[in-house]
Amino acid sequence: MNDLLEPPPDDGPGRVAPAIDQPSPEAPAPPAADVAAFTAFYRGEIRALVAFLLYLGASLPDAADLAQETMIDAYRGWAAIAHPRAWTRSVASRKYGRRVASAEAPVDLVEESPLLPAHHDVTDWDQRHHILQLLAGLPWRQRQVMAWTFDGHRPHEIAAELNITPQAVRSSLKLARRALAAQLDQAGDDLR
Amino acid sequence: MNDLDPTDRRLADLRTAMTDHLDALLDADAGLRDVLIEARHTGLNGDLDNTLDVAAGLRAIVPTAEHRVPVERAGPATAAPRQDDPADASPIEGAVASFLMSLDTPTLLAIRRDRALDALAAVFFLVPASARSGDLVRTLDHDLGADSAPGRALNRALALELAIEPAYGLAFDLDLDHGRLHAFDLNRVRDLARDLARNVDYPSALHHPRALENARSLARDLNHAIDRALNLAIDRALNLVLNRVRDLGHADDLDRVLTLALDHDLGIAGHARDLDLFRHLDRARDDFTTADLRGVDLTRISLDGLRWSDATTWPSEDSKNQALLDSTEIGPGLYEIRRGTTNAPAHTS
Repeated sequence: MNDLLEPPPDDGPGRVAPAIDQPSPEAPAPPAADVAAFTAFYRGEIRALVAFLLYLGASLPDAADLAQETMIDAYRGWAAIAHPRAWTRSVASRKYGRRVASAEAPVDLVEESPLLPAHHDVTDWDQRHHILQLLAGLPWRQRQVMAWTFDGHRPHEIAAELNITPQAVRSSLKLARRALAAQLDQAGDDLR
Repeated sequence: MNDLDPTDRRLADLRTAMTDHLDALLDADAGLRDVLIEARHTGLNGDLDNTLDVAAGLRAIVPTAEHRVPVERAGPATAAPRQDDPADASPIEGAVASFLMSLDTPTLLAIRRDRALDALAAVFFLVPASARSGDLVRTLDHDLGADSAPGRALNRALALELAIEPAYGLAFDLDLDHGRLHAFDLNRVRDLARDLARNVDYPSALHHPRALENARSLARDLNHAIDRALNLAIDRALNLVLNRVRDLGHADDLDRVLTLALDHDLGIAGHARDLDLFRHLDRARDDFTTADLRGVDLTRISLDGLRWSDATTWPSEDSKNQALLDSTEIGPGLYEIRRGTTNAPAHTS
């Protein structure tokens, strides 16, 4: 009925979730039961979503901001999202990609995300976590594949999401793990 | 991942250390409150009131050419669709056009070719075209009655024929959708305009009383036929738009804003003859000269008539090359995608 305002269909190959990073603006507010479901999802997933963005290379303020934006989008389009976990990863990674590619202004620390209380010191946060330093040494594709893997996705799911072959995912994964192992060996047991 | 692998185990330990730190750092309750509050607002850039305030404010601060220069009533032909200045960068006016400009790129791409917007564009075009044609006919009749110079009458008749032609084409397209109910009126307009142009094409004949009276009679008939045919076509276009508005009856914010914008523009279309709503709507629908299309799936979207430039960012080099193949260069670094070159339907309804 309302096809005038229907967002463009986007069900291209390889999507593990509805490819709508802008949920239909006309979507009505979710019913109360869905609010409860969303609340449970948010509480269970927000930290993992922030971690996923950190693995991809976002700074902590950016990761918190993008994760929050993604959750707002998810709430608005909640009724239409079949696989919210995969959906939020897909949308958040694209948001991050756009932010990097378009050199969007980084999150102003003065206007911190509600997720990130002001009293915490987040300067040099990524320097304090060796996992992020290790990932920072990887080429982009390998870092992407590792981020999705850390988040619990299997190679064929990652392949679908990144629009590459499962073989290419496994190859990147192998190269990434080899590089990470070498870095760990070089750093010795201090990194444990 | 294999949990027994030493590398994986060490990576898992490092990840656990980081996520434990995140657990202590992030305030999920505050974040959740923020989502639930934020999502109560619309996803749009504001409602119509804000949009209209912006348009009115712009008009007050930056008067556009349409406001400064009166329309030449008896001048050359009305501009036909797609003949506006491709490099026009003046502020967008009109509530619907302003509303479209406030949409994000994927949504605008999805609705820009909607039949209701075509009909609205037709209304915006036909209302002033009808008024100008009527003015021309009346002036021509006056010239003939005053036995003015035949050359001037001829120029007016030719200008009139040129003015009627694009309006006729647009009205006829709408009429065909309606089952040719009004085709007779439209054909009569065109036939009369051609007869009149032929009649005054022989200046010496206009000195003959019978020929002069014949030309004046044609001009008057034409005036009546224009009024009737174009008004019927306008009614038809309005019905299309209003049907769409009724389709959008459910009360969410986007529909409400669009409905109010339509009401506003339809309300002023018959009065604001100096405001070229057609051109502004056309620009709002087709101007992607600075758009960032990265991340937009273009495979099912009609790009017909879309204007783009070297500043447009395409999803891939392939899509840009395809756009170049499908486009005509309409100005330095400015392109327009030719109608019928994309594989998506032209209308979304």
